[in-house]
Amino acid sequence: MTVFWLMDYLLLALTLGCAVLVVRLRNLSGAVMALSAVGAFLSLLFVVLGAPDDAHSEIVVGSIALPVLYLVAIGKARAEVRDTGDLAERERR
Amino acid sequence: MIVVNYLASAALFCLGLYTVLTRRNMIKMVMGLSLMESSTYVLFISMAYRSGSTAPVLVDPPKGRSPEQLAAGNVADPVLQNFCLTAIVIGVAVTAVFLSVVVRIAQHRRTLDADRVRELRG
Repeated sequence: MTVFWLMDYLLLALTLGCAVLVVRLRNLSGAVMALSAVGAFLSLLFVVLGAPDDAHSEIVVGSIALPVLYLVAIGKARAEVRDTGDLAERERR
Repeated sequence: MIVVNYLASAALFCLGLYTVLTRRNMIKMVMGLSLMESSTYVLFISMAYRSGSTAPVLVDPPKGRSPEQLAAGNVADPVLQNFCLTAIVIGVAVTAVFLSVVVRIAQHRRTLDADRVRELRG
């Protein structure tokens, strides 16, 4: 039981530390990597708490798929795209 | 009943809420929403855990235990774990929708700053 509490406290502390890093980091790619670490530590916490199926889906989604989505979104937001005004949107000047 | 996990979940939720309320970069705001979703996962799994329980994979009872003992609380609650599984899947879909909206705004307005998108300001 004491090993359980040790793992529980350690993984909770690592998760909260990485969440603080997500908030504090100015570099967007670094914040995305910290979010990926939050997902990885969360999935380890789920294994400790007896939920291996949730750990599996969390490590696939929260640690791999979500950072890929964020990195693609950051890259597309920084790309130069000519706005052709589809959907009849017009920039008001 | 793990009070420390509940407190950590509340701290994670407050951290995400702080990010949404104070950051102006819209991608950072979506990251705050992801942190708030993670806090709900921690809350569900911590509520499903009982003292000394194992994973609810009921092919056979653990060695030396009868099925009646399993019903008395030697496995974690599978209902809340299924809630958590549903929340994870819905969470990634919702985050993808938020990110596509942010990318659309960024391509249209050439900015990621939420204070400079003022058309819907109340």
